Amino acid sequence: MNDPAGSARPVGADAIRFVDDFRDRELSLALVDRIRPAAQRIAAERGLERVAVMEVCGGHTHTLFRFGIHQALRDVIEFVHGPGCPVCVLPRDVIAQCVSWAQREDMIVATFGDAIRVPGHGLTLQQARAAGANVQVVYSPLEALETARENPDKNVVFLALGFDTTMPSTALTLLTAKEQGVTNFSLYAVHIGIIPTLQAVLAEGAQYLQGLIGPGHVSMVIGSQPYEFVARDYGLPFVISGFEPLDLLQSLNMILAQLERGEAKVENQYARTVTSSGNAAALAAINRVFRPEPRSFWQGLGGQTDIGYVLSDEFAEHDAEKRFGIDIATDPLSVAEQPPECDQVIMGRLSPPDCPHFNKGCTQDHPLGALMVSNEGACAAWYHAGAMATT
Amino acid sequence: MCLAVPAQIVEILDNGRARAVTGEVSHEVDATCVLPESGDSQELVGEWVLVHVGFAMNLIDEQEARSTLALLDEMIAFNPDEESAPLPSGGSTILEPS
Repeated sequence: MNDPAGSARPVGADAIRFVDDFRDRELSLALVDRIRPAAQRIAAERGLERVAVMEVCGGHTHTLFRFGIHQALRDVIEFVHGPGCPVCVLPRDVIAQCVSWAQREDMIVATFGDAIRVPGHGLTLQQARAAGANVQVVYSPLEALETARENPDKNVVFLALGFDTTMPSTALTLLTAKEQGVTNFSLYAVHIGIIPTLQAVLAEGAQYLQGLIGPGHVSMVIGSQPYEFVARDYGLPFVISGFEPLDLLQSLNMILAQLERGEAKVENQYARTVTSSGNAAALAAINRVFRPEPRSFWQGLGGQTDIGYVLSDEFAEHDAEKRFGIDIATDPLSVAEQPPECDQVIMGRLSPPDCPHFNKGCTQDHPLGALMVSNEGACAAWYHAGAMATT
Repeated sequence: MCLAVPAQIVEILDNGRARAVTGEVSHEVDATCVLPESGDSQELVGEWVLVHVGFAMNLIDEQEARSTLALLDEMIAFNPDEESAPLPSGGSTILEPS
């Protein structure tokens, strides 16, 4: 195989094709011209001010703002931001526990960059690191495994968080660690399943929605079938979407077309990578390493607890909770540490600019909640859009 | 968190790993989730994948990508001006998962 970097035209240059082709400006504008009157017709027929569509995934929220789709359509479509930001629902106890471990001489806590700016009960992991704690930011869990290999005298804990998209990567990393006998590598697994999360959100607020844009990359793992309950139980159109502007516009178009025909079904706009049954190898890895187990508390999800996972017993020797114990006092008041409005935003019941703290007490420099901190948080999306509009 | 980037697999390495290229950036990825049923990992060379946190999570079906774009072109060409026309179906028959 030739080294692509040495050839005149890099082999992977065409990869951009899968991005650029789905950003075509003319086509996007033509779609906006189609969507607008359709949304107006549907709203008028149903006596609504606007058609309310929830984008479940925080990545979609940011695409809607970044490419001006939100701004172009907000007078006819109410974009309701969903719970799809795993950092935003992370229990604060988890961060506090990681800070505690990272402060030990003989431990290193590794995690994704998204998690290190989220407040625990006191310090964030970033602040703890500045004060000398052993915190490593990684792009991949495989880097944390490498750190464990390179530091045999330290226990390395990977804080494994994220939806179903990320679960296979941590599961496969743990399988490698076990196979290779890297005994000083452990997982603190606080993954969260999209299906129970969606169930919690819809049980509270389905009546305020006319349709949902489904998460594309979660779905490449779990497939489109698990969402059937949305159409069946709630009578709402659900369209799994890619992440480029044309993907989202086409998905909106498909939702409106269903509404016009009086249908409610699961459709797959992201067929170039999502199938009905998902990725078999990824699902097998998840099922081998994790099992569903209630967690005490998730931020904002209405007290719903049965949406988390723990490591299967087979992996007890790599389970950080079992090996090192939870040594922080679980604080029942932790709910109150961020304003109650955060919970309403996570559930799609409050739009960030309508929050009394937004851009007042709560800013990017002084965030009151994780929604303003995380790259995928709805409040951060609104905040950045506002900053762009005024500069 | 769920960000994934398209890349093309250019070389198969040891231990279920592969070299993938995005733009001008070449990187190693874990290919466990996209290994072909035949077991012959060489079949992956030239395939497009979506890479998430160092793992090739799924293949990208180029034909489906073209179908999606073609459908959009058709839809726009079909009825460019009439605002009151009902929306076409959005191609659910083509795009529905198989």
